[in-house]
Amino acid sequence: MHITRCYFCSGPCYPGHGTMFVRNDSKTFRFCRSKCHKNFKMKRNPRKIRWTKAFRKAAGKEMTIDSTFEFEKRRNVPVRYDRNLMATTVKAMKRVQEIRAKRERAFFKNRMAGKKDQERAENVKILQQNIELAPTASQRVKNQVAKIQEQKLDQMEMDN
Amino acid sequence: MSLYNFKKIQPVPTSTDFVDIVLSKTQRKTPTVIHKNYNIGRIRQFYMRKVKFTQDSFDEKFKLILDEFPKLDDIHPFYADLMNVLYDKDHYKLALGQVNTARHLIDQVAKDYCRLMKFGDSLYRCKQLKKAALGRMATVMKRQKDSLAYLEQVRQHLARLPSIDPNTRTLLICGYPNVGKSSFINKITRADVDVQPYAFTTKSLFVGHMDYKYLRWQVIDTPGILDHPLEERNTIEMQSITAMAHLRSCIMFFMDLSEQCGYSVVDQVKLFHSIKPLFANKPIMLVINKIDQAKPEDLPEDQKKMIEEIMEKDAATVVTMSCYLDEGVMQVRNASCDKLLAARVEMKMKGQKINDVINKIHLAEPVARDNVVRAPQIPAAAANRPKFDIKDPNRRRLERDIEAENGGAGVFSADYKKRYDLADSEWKYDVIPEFWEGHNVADFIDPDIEEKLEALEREEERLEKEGFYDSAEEIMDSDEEELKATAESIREKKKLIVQAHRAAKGNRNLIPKMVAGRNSTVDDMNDHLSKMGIDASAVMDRARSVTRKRTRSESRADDSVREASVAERGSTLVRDRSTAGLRNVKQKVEADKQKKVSQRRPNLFAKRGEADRDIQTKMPKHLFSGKAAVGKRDRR
Amino acid sequence: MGRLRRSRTHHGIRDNSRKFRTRAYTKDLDQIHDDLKGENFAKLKSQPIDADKTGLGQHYCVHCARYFPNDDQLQQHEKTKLHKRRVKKTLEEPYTQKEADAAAGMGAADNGKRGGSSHQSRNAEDVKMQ
Repeated sequence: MHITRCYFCSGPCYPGHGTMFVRNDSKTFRFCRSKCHKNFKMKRNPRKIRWTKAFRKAAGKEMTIDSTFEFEKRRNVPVRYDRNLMATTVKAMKRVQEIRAKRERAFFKNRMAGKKDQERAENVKILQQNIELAPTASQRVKNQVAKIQEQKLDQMEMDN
Repeated sequence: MSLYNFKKIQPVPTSTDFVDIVLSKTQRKTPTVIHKNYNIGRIRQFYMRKVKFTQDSFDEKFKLILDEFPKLDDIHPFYADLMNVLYDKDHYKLALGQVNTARHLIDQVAKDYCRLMKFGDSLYRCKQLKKAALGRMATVMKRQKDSLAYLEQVRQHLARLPSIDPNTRTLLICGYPNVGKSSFINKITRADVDVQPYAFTTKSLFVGHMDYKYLRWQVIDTPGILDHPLEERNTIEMQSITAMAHLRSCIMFFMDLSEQCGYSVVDQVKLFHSIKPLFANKPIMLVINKIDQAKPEDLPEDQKKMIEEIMEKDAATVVTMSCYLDEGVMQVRNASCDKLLAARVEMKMKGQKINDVINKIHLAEPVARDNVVRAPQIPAAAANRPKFDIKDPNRRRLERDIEAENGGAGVFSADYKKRYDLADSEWKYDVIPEFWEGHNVADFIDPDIEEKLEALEREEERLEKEGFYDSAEEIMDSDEEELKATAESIREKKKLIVQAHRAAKGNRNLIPKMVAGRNSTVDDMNDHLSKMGIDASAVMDRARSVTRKRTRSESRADDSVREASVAERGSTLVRDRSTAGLRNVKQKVEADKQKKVSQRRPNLFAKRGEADRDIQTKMPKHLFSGKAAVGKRDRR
Repeated sequence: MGRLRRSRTHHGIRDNSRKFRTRAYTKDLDQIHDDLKGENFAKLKSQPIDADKTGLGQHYCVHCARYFPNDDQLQQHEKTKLHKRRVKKTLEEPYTQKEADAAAGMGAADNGKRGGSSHQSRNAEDVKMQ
């Protein structure tokens, strides 16, 4: 029993699930579900389909280089069973997974770092342009806008 | 014997039958429906398939003929010669050759027309090409009429030939006609050969079988032969000659000393000498038959001498018997069988193949190079181990003993794990984990995992120290939040404005004023006005108060409101159709009356009238046709 | 006789289940990538005459894995957008299972070292020590 990785979306193919396609040059392709199989039949490139892992990696949405990736790999070398080794392995699996999750979170935060300022700038802009649409058009908001504009003027003066 | 069985050859149809068989097969086994508005590729393929299929069936049938009919070059020379005698070698080869040529011609025709078919641009053209192709094939077949007829004749004759195995132990009976050959074969085997007191009763070869010394023997009865040159011999005699020439057998030359057969002893001796060349290196028996009539001792001196000469010069054994009295028949048979057996053994000893057998018997032993004794080396542990003895109660326990103790086969399942070679024997029966959260545990197994994990932990510590995971948790202040909420609501509004703009832009369904008016209510108006920031309470009050004044009925109230709102737009869209086309009230009354009258009869008989619900088509085609697929039945 | 079909009146109707049957399978991009390598390319460009193939198999577009009836058509095809798009696709590195595994966070397969693995020898030592 072995869990293989889906050719298309890189998800796990559990035993007894999904489809395997054997091409006439005897190359095999595993798919975790019919969605992946259908997309493969349409000759789509997983690197360009947004929902696949391959896309996310290729487009820099997820980490690509990390030391935790060196733990899981296909082992084609037989190793004699050893209870202690097995215990450490299981322990290591969990620890590695933990660390990876942590790093992924950090990576995501890093990636989204500039997003907040950007959003704020956009909000301010929309407020300045369409102040008449503001529903309750509270005094506070208006004050705020005025304050922002003042800040801007100050900055420009400083620059000058 | 199975080698030369000509009974299984399939009948060869005549040329017309042949064509019929193949064409009807094509008709049956290929699709038959085609229309000219089909894709041209499909049309071509359709006709190409027909042509190819026809060619294939021809090919198959021809191949069957060519494979089944024996090839003169491949079969035993005895059969080759026999067939030459019976059917004429040249004629036979020519017929098969022609069949082969026809096969190639038909292949060629099909190939050519398939190629042409690729250029066929319409159904008609393709059909003509197919027709031409099949026509040409039929013409080729027509030319094969004679050879096919001949082959059928040959087949029928071949099927009736006795199955003679040219390589087995054989006794061959020959001699002048009427000397008692057939009587002899009837005596020693179960063959039932016709025996009559005239010459050439036996016109072809006959075979009988018998057992002697637990072996199967084949006895062949040949037609009688006369003493004249080979060229003058007829077909019947030639069969005997071929048998004598080609079969490795014991030749039993029959003689009749009583001359009842109609040929003198001298003639018979002469015949022996003239056909002697055919017996070279074969055991010969000179069988003197009919000793009840004449014994060799009673012969004149000169004839006796002739026989003795044969005995000495040609190593023939002279035996005597009488089929009539059943005297010496078995002795003759045994003597000839023994002689043949001896001859065959001698022959084998001389041949090349004997080496193979002798090699097996011979045991080669290397010559000793010195005097050192090289005894087999057995480890002490193995040598001291007590020998396995099934009766010994303290014998070594085998896996099958364990099985027997635990309920026998089917109940007990062997323990494969107990011989695992692990560092600690306690681990043998461990349950090995396979998966963990979509990962294979085996993919992580690495003898160096501890070091690697440590390295990772160190790296982790370093990163933590460096502040890789630190992140200033930004908390939104209330100002920020308000700003965001306001921006969001502005966006929402802008979106609505855009939508409304798009909707007003045309390319939309026009709702008739009538319908739009019917659907709009006083509440809608209220909503709309209040949204625009106008106080609608006055209007609402007015609408309500008016209705209340006029009537108490709810429905009337709505109507009045509708009229009020619709009238504002200045259009009346409802017309009473019942008065359309009528000049005045009088006419309308008249019309109503006539309508009633016209409906009286139908109403009386409960007939369908104009106002009844009309079902135009009782069973609409689209709801009742087509095959139901797997699934719900109401999805049609 | 029925009315002959006007060409492609319903472009939205695509019989995908038929089009994507395995028997209608066309070459994948990674196969074409292999075909484009020097020797294979030359071999595909000069094929033996085969009467069953379009144009006797003499005018083959390797990028699109298609046969053409004559050289003219092949030239024409090479000017089309379809072809140019295909060429662009074949230029980039083909996607493989290895990449899929890497995307799932797996490293390259460990095939051990040539001539006996180091792991096994170490294991043997361990056993001895115990």
